[in-house]
Amino acid sequence: MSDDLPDQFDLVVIGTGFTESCIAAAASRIGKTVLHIDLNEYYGDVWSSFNLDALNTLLQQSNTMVRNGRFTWHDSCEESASWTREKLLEKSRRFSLDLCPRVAYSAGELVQLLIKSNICRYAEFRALDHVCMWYNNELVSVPCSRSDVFNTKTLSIVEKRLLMKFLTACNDYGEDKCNEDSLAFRGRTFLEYLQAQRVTDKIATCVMQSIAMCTPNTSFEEGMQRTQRFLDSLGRYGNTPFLFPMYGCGELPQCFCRLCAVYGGIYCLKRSVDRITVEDSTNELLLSSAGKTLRAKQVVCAPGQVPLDQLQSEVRAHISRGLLIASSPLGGEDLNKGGGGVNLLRLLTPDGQHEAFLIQLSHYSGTCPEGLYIFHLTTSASSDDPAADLAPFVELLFGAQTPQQLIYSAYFTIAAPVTTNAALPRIYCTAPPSYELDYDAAIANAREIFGKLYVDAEFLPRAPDPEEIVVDGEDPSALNEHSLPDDLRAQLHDLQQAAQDMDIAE
Amino acid sequence: MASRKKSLLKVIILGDSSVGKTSLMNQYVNKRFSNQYKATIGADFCTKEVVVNDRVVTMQIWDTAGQERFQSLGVAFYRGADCCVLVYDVTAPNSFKNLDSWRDEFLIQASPRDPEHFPFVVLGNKVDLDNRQVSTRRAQQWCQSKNDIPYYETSAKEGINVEMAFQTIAKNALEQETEAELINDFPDQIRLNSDNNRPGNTDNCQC
Repeated sequence: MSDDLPDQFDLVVIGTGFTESCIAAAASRIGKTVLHIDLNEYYGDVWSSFNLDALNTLLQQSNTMVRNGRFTWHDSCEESASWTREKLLEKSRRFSLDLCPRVAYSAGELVQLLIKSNICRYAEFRALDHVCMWYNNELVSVPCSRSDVFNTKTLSIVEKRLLMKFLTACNDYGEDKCNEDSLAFRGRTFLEYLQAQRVTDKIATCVMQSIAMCTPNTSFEEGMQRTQRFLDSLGRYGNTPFLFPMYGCGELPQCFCRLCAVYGGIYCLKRSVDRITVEDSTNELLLSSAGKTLRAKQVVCAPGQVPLDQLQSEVRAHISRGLLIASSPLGGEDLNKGGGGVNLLRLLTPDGQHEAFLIQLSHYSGTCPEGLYIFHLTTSASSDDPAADLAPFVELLFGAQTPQQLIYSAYFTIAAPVTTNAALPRIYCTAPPSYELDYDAAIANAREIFGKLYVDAEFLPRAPDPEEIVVDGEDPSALNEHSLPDDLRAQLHDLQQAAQDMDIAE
Repeated sequence: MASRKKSLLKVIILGDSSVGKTSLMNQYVNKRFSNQYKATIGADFCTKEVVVNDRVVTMQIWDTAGQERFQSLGVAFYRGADCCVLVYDVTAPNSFKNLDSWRDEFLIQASPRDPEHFPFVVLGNKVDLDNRQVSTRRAQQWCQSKNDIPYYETSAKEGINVEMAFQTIAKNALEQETEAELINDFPDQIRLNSDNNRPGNTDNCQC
């Protein structure tokens, strides 16, 4: 089937994860010939989303990147349970379960990149309904907008004024580097600053947990930056500063791949590379793949898809993941209006040493059937036992949950071989997904590798809208003609006529 | 809440490589045809306003961007399709045989709520060529066997039947709506663009 695959490329990208897809799109966009392959039959590698059946299969098989997988059905003894294992599996295809779920700051790196490159036309988002915090053993919505602060029953009037005053101060911070606070708290922690503002415990929790997303050790400057990042993203879309991609995060790599394809990139799933060698005479990289030799000037490779005999190394756990499905959402009705919200909750262990984030998805996100809720738990791996890593958080959240509401739970580790880029020249390995809420680190990694591949080239400049593209082999005047004033159009017509006559004369 | 009417129809075009998917789209939207075959570079999607039953709707026609060439269309391509156009080349019997698998692939990947009644349209393209291999009757039989899919024989090159075919596509996609099918499943979804990403002047903490 693939015998007509060209065999010479500027760049071969192995793996269709988020970072690799960014690089493939960026290279194709500036006119490089790109072959983008993946050994899996799906897009996204370890950044992909799966239906329920496919996820279970993946967890049972385990591969280089997805390890320590197991899932459990919490079958209800009650006959009356509205959701059962059978019903979930029947609707397997209605699920889109992320391996690496994230949310995007509305003014963050990802959103800016999507807009700047015009790749946003391939994606749709849902604004998160609530940012939550865990306070006094209760799930509480963090007021984000001005009207939220005004309307919330969570805070007293005094607290409301304190919070607004504090956030305003954070927002203005940095405009004057020499202001009192900046000088007084240089080198100290954000928590100390917060305490000095004499805010209540509730507001301190609110800011530390959910707005600045700090730990007690976070520095003053870092905390201020994080708060500003939150504030900058407010009021753009919806009621919170965050967006979630419709149908799950697995859509995002595909958006970048589509741009790559639109600019001529060739796509081949279910294809792997067995080994890479350097041809001495030409200095090109030779990739043996499915009995064929492909030539590439440079290669970008996902950590989990490096040809095996090339880079054998230890595998390290990066992220511990939990994925729970329940028939009721977390928190009360006010957090789940109209059938359930898409909510974010950041959690800290009591000692403040470990953190995790939880994304609750309802059917509005396009990732599960109506009436069910997905809880994605993510923390950085501290062991090879994802369930143990997440146990304190699960205990905290679901300890009180009656058993029949929880239907399914799965745990797995996102791992990656420790790679070095020194093995062969002009082969660049991307970094595996790290513990982060947004895509900043992944995008920075893509930019960095792209910068090494094509020094001085622009990373994903705006792709014109389809209407602006002149189709190859066509007379460009056909497009522009309509925008010309009448007299010029007549002139152009005369010129074309003359040109045609000349052809005949020959 | 979930009953807001759609004014944007997403139509996707499927079929083997080089059956003329991009050309059909170009002929319909831009009234242009390019003889120079390139495995779909630069072809993305086209939008066209159409009037169906006195209603103006925007039809957004999505090309495969060449990703079908090595069977590598991702599920994202199929999301939210309101109509699926299956194209084959009347001079290439294999492209006709593959209609079955394209239809199946669509139903699996897009998993529409009512697969039995999802609007497909089949186009037999390149009828301007002399070496026709698939008879009209054979194609019609196949279409009848699949719940009476409308069938048109087209030439993207000559512009034959293209307009009519796409009118049917828009009409059938919209008709689903009367059967309460074409409702907007996700009423609050957000598309990003540079216009609405200006710093908020609406509801904001930064008072």
